[in-house]
Amino acid sequence: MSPNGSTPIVASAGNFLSTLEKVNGELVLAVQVAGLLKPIIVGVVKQIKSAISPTQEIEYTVVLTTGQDKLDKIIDLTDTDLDEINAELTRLGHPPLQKPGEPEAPPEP
Amino acid sequence: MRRLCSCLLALVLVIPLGFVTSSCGGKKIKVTNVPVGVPEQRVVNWFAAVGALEDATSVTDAAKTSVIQLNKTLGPDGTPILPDGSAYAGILTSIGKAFQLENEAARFLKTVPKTWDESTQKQLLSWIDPILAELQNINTLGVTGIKNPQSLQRINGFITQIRTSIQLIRGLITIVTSHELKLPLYPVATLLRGEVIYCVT
Repeated sequence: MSPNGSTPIVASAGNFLSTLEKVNGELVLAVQVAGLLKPIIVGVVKQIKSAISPTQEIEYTVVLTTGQDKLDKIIDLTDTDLDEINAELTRLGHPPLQKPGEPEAPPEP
Repeated sequence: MRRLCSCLLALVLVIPLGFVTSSCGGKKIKVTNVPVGVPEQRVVNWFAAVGALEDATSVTDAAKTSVIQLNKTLGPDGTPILPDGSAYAGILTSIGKAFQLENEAARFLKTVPKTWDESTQKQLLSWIDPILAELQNINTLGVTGIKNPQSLQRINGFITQIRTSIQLIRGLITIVTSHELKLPLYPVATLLRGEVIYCVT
């Protein structure tokens, strides 16, 4: 280990990213908020330009792979959740909420 | 199985990279598969918004489950922790409206893949800001309707998580609005300049 301890960490990162590149491993880009790591973007590591250098520079290419499928998942989940919410509202005697994408119910006579 | 392995690999990845980039110097991410003529940053913004919306939706789902459970769970006094009544109905309605808004935002984003221009941002605002209002309503009704402090804390925790994700989307919107938020999510802003992601505090 170097005196400041940084080189082995970078070397590990280089090896790690190289391995990911070989196996088409997914890279999760996340932000940490209030102690929770929230994954935001998922991509596949495709290229590493310089894994280790004196300036500790690592440049890699990420191919973003998700998007449309996530949106379909959101739409399906919220549709199902709205059904459950509406069942409870109906039980309580309240009007149900309209589901997006469905025609508006005609007014009651 | 392959998907499970990918997920596990991705989870394992997150932590080491956190250490790797702790110095926050010189690491760069380049994003490919960008449509011709479209700046890379805009594409990343679109993907980030989708990811944050997915996170908000999954936490809203968890909040819904928890709220309905509170209605079915009896407290020490033998009555539901969140009994039938205006507070329960109001919380359900606000959660339902949040689902509507998340659903509409997702449907809209599907129509503008990888596009983060001014028009996209303006349209998205019309769903994002009302979600924040519904979260505030849930918070207010929870204080009056949920009798158990731990349960209230749990619901408020969900609200905080959803709000964080929604504000993250809000932070991606660069057009000037009358009530622009100042967010503490600088790492995301850094990401969107195409430099580093893991400089988080």
